[in-house]
Amino acid sequence: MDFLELWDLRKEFGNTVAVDGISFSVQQGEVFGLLGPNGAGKSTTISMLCGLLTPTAGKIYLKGKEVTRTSQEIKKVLGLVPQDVALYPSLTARENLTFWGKMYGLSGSLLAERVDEALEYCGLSDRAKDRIETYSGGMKRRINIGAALLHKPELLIMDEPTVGIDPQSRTHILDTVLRLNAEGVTVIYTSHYMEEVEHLCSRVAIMDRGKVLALGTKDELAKMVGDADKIEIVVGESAIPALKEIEAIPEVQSVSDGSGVVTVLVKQGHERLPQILEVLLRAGVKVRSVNITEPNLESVFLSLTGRALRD
Amino acid sequence: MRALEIAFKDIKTVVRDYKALTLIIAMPLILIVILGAALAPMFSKEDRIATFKVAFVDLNGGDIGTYVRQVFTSEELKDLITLVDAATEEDGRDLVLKGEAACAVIIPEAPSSTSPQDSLEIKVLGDAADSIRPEIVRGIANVFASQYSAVYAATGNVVEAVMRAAAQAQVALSSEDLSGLASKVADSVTEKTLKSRTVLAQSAMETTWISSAQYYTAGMSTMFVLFGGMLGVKSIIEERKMHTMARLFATKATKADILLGKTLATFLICLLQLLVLIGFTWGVLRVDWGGPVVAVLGVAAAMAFASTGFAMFIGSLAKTERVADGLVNASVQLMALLGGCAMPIYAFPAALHFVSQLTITRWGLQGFLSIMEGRGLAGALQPMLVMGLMGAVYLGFGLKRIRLE
Repeated sequence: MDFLELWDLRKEFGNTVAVDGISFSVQQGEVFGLLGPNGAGKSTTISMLCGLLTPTAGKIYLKGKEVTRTSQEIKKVLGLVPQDVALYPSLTARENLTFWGKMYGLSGSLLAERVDEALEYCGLSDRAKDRIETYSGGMKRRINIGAALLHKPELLIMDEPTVGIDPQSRTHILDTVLRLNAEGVTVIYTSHYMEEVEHLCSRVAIMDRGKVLALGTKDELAKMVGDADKIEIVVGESAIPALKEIEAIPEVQSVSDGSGVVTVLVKQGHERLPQILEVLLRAGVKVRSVNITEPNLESVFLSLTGRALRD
Repeated sequence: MRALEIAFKDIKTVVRDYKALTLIIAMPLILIVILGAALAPMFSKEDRIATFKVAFVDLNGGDIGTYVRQVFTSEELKDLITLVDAATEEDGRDLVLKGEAACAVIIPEAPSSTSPQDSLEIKVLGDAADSIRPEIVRGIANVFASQYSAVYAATGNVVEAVMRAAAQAQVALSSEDLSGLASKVADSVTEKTLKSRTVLAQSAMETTWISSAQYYTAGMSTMFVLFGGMLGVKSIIEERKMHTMARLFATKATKADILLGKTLATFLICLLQLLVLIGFTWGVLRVDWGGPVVAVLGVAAAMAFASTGFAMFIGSLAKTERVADGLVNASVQLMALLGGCAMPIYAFPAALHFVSQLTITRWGLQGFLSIMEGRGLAGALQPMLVMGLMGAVYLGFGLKRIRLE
């Protein structure tokens, strides 16, 4: 039996379809990734899972039991790490954790014990008495995660937990996810950082514009683009006039131009690179740098949507 | 239990917010001191209230009417009160409603001098919006009525004693003799009563004396508790913005827990704010809040409840902090003005008296002033009930419409 199942889940806001009939399942004990650019529908999906939004259509099953409209059921096993730091700035870390622990139904010595554990997990025991408003962005993010662990949830949902933080805190958070998973916690991890999802997740659903475009293990997804390499060329000005000519080069699967970067998905990238650069130079485009990477989740996304994840 | 935790967390957050504390505690205290000092002449004993008209309806047409008229036109009161005759109670009421008289004094048809056993009750009709002038008149009328009733009780006792003595001495007394005796006793005692009218008028007025410091302490406390209530509602908007509300919904806390917690927090913030203001002005500024303490606490609790309801109502209308701020500033200032927090209501045109009754501030102010005037818990009951009702209506609407997610 799947731990969590989503069947044809849909969410509309007026005339806007935020999530357009997505279906996937999450196995107990896995780290499941939701990868997609901003606006792909990841956070809306998470909000429906947590009972913060009521789906317009579709069903959610937890351990085989339907919980679409009985969010209290899922809340019993759920820990949510929101995309934004959801803490009270004027309260100390310990006061924040104690409050959230009480909201999860903890009290007395068990609560105190769990708060200490969470502080330890976050590596911030020595700053427990400091107000959150005095913390750095990365430290806030760590306490943000700690607050979701107090009641030892079976399912941890992490919505873009590393946005805007320093490398040290990012490493700490990624290590924490792996450590929790090793302890048996099922994790749903959403991000638009391909490297994080590749590093953490056993299976990945790629989302864009409210739909799941592809789902599988990293290897399964990589096979979708065959052996195409991704070439990223940083340019000085718009390369739009040259895009059609690049697209016509043999073995080129897709070309996109955004934020001063031309991204080309092409087989045998090293061999095709001179041709591509020649087209750009002929079109008067100044090339600043070039980077070739082997097939990865970003390549899959590019192949499926014709756009880069950062677009 | 979760609701309590949410409430305590909110209170802790407010207590640590120095800007919020400045708004709800420091600002009213500063205004109390400034307004109390600057506008003291409005409340000075000499010219605190300009001469006002009192409609005089004499349904008795006998001695009682004459005596009461003498009291109100006496040397001691002539600079304060001008009598305007009205033929019927309806005429007197009309004069009050049109704002042509501050109140109406109705001398009843009975008791008359022929039925001395009844106690005298003089009716005073006043505009509910004016908590000062009708009270002065009511005080004078009540003291007169009780003294007058005492005179007749005394007359009856004297006549009865004379009759018993005459019977023992086997002296025959005619009804004319007894009537004459009663009349002489009554006239004598009444004359003495009327001679003491200076004391009577002054004592009645002393009981309703309110200093400017008292008035503006009550007024500013009443006004600023509405700002205190808004801190509770702004915490809902802030929690939406900070995403802690979404996180709360992802815990075991239910919508009812969150709403109850927020409502409780708002109520307790308002109540604590009022208690601090009352305590500080009483202890440090020596403002007399009257008594008993339970009455002051009762009005404070009712005011805090009404403010909580109003805050939730505003919260249901405002989606952003900026809109909430705008609505609060406009509505609180309007309510403060119409409710008499800045200027006594009796100075308003008659048409605004009714409008003022629709404001929470007017009832809060009246509740506190009633206690300061010495009318105790009984005098504060009506304002407390009205504020309770207003708070319940606002709260019901607000809780039904407020958006947490």
